[in-house]
Amino acid sequence: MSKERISIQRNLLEYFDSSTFMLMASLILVGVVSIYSATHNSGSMSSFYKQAMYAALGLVGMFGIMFTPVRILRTATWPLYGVSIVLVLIAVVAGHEVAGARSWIRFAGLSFQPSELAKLGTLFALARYITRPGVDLRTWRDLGFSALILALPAMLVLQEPDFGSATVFVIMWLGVVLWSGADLFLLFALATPPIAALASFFGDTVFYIIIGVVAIAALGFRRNIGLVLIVVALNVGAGFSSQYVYDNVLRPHQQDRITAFLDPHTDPRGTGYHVIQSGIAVGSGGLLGKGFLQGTQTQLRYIPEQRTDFIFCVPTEEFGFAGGTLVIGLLTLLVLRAYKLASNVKSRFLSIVSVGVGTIWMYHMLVNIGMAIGLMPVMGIPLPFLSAGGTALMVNMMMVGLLLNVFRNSVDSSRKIF
Amino acid sequence: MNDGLDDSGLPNPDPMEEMRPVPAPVKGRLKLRVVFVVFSLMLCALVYRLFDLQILSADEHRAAGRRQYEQKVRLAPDRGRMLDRNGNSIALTISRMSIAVDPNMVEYPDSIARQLSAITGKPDSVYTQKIQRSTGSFVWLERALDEVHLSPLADMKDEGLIRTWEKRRTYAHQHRAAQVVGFTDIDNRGVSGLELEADTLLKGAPGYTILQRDGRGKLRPTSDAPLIQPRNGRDIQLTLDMSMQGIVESELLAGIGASGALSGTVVALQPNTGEILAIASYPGFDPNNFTEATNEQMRNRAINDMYEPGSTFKTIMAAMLLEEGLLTPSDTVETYGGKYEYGDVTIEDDHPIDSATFRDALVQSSNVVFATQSQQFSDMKFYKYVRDFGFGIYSGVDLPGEVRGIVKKPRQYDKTTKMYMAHGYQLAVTALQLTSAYAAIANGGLVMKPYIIKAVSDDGDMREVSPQQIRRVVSKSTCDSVTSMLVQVVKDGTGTMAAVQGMHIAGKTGTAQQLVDGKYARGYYTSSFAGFFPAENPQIAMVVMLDRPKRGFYGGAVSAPIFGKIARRLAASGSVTIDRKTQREESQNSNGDSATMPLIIGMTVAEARENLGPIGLRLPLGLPEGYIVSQKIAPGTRLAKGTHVTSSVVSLSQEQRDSVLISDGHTTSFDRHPDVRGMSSRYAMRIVHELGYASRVVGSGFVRRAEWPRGTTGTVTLYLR
Repeated sequence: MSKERISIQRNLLEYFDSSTFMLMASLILVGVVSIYSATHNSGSMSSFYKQAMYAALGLVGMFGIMFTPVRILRTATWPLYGVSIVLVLIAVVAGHEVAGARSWIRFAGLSFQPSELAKLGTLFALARYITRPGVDLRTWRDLGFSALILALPAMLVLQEPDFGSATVFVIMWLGVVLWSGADLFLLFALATPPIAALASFFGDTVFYIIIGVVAIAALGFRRNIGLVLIVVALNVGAGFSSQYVYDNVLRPHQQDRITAFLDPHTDPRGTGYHVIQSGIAVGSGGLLGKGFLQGTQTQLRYIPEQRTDFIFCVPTEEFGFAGGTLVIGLLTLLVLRAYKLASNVKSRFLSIVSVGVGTIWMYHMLVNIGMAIGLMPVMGIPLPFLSAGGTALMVNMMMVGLLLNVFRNSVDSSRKIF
Repeated sequence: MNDGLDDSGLPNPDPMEEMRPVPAPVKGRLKLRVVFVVFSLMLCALVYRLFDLQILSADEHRAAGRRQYEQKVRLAPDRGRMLDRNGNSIALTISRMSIAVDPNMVEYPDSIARQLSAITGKPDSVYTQKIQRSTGSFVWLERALDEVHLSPLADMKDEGLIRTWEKRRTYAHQHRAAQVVGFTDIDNRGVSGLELEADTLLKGAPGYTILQRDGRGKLRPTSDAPLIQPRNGRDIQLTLDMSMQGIVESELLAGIGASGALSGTVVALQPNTGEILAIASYPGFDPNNFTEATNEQMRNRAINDMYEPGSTFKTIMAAMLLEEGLLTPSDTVETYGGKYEYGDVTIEDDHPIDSATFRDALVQSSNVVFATQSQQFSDMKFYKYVRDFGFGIYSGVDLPGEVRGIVKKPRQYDKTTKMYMAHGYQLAVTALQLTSAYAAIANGGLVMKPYIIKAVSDDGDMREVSPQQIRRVVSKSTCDSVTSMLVQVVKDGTGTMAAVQGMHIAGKTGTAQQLVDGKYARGYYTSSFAGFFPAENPQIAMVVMLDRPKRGFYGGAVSAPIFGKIARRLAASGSVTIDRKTQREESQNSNGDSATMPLIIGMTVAEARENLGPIGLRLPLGLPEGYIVSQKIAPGTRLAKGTHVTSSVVSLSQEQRDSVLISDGHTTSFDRHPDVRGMSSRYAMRIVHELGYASRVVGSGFVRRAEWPRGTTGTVTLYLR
């Protein structure tokens, strides 16, 4: 009797993925501390308190999802997908405009960002579709259908307009379909044209070198020559149309972001300001940083929107290279954890969801940190768990809840994960 | 679509797909590796970039950060004060507040306007309109206000209210000694006068602190900011006596008004030290509003201008002749009947005298005697004496812009040079040089260096500057003889207008024709009086010099009265101590049945009573308090003792009195009206306005005729020519 109870107690602990939880908790802690530093002398600490409150609220959601049976999660897929799309639609039509984008719904004094929830809804929908019997992503038909599932919310988000979040949907889809059997060549065909387009801004030489590399790599896939030619043509087309797209499709603020990315010093007090200031903040941090609340760039508020999109400047300025690599390390471990769980769980649905979650985080991390240190153009993509923002934090914690759920479901098959 | 490298997987038709093992780990190993490698490469790029920014180029970024947030703020030192010899402030630095607003941010514009209006007296609307009309984000409302610290504005809370403290140099005595004191520019740097000359002492050294500038451009203090305190400038104490300066300036102004001179200057030295007690130039200005001043007003005429001295130089000649033993005061000298011809040169006396002693020649100011006697000197000896008295060389006074004057060198002499120089022509001197030479005679033959900075503060102590003896030029006995002759000049000779009851004054008149277009012209004179007093115990050596007086041109007529009035007021104020014995002798002289009417214009009623009482004259009772503007009995008139002297009294504040001149030469027929004829229109108008009339001016130049209205108000018409 007593032996049984002990084993049950042990099982309860064993069912809880404390590694994932601790990684998340560490990241949230770093985030809250950073928000405190960025706002404590601004006269309003509301961001700090809100973030702490949403973290507490997020715990409820996280545990709720952790203990929800997979069956119910599966069932909830289409309602979730439908509701999140309706909410995005509401945002597009009647949303609250912040910085030129109607990404927010305001209701009863609370702000809600439906595109964050839509990421989860779309991920569920993709997982649900892919796990349907008979769906084979190696066929154009099923791959195209899965693309439609993502296209609907992505196009809506683009209408807000929130270009950054729209790319998240694409990347998430790419990760999920690759994981679920789609061809790597697909990744190659989709990922190279944006690179070629970007390269075209650096001059002809750089562009032709990239085209050459793409062509050789495409041949390396040993596919039929038609596909190779199509991919190369896509790349060349992207490069040659980039100026046209820049002039006619991109909005002025997007043009500015690209200009600022290519050379922030063309307009150091205008569009380049963000990039230059965050570069100074990160760069002046040194090895160990200036100390908590001692970062001059942060404390003197040189970086606009620091508590949200540029939160990475705080740990890097005040805790230096050590702080920066800590954040990157924690996030990387979390991403790897998601992929590892995806490989171990028996449920294919949960596996795909785990991969999607990991991919979303990875993409957010690369883009957000990349833009803070000048490797990427400025896009409104927050840093998971660190950036101030209630909806994003809660959705991310729900994603952690999913991972905990996955762990709980995979304990039996594999005790030792790391 | 077929995966060429990994084709082991086929769609699993198992309806219970939940239970099916995940295919990817098994079948997509290469795919996973590729994705993993891409991810790793990207991570490496991130970390490398981070390493590059934070470790390799950290210094560069730190410097860039510092460049934009560090703001070195200059801390201005307090400029040293300027004090007079009695410790009264002349120039001091006062912090004043300037008020501006940001019209976009301002919360209580009406309240701000009301408070400003309360300080300045301008209507509220002036300020509200300024705020409303401004299109920018900054508008000055008032600059350099004095009394803001008392107003609610000083601690009013309004995001859009901008207050800045500015240190402004302030001159407590306005016009008084303005040319000497000088002024500073907007950045508190000395520009003229002593402010310029003593700038290095006064200015101190600025300090600084480093503040942090935030992303919005606002400055923030930090607790550990480096702070280098400014070192305040030193205070300097001047030899000037500001009350004496005030007397000198008001009498100079009055004298210029009376004579219609273009300009004038007075220098007063303490003979035994060389301290400058007063130094006045007319026209003057207010250094608090120096931007309105003209160059003419800013000239320190005592040291920046030179003149041919005329007869005042005969005193120097007399000292030379006595010192060399060539003459004694009682020697008889040849007068040539007042006209001496030498080649084609004729030297004439204005008042020819027949046979005379050397003493008489000086008392009557004979040009002929001094011209002929000068020939006894060799050129070199003559030149050396003139130089030793301080002419033709810098006195070394600590004031900017001193000119040296012109004294010919012996090799430039022709046969008549000494003859001309002997009565004050063919050389140019400054009023200060002349005063200094007279001071040397008053000081028993020792030339002292004139100076104006008496002491300089050093960590709270005042370090005195010592008087500096330059050289002995003549002996004490020579000086005594010259002094007795000069006393007689004032007693019986050309200088009687300088006489003061109860005090012996030694002095000499001078009237020099001015060179106009290369010729000595009639009608253009430099009229001066130089001397010292009391003769027995000289405490003040002084020169009064007027340029181109219009009414009366003899130094004895226009400059001597100014000298006399200043001397009298200084004696009355106690600035000069008079020997009891002299006072007694003097009053014995006036003992008898008659008394000489003194000049009482410019005195207060009380002062006039004090002056008249001892000589047996009386003012009627019941006169109002105020200053006497006219007297019916001309100065110098012999009156029976006990006579009641009638005067007109007008009440003026001290300040008005200093700036408003008092008319002389009143006649009975214009009982209520001062005679403004011959005055410049400006003076005449001042007087007219001061008496409560309006004025109308016809023509330009000097007043020819004035039409007064009936009654005590109305318009006075001034006809000018």
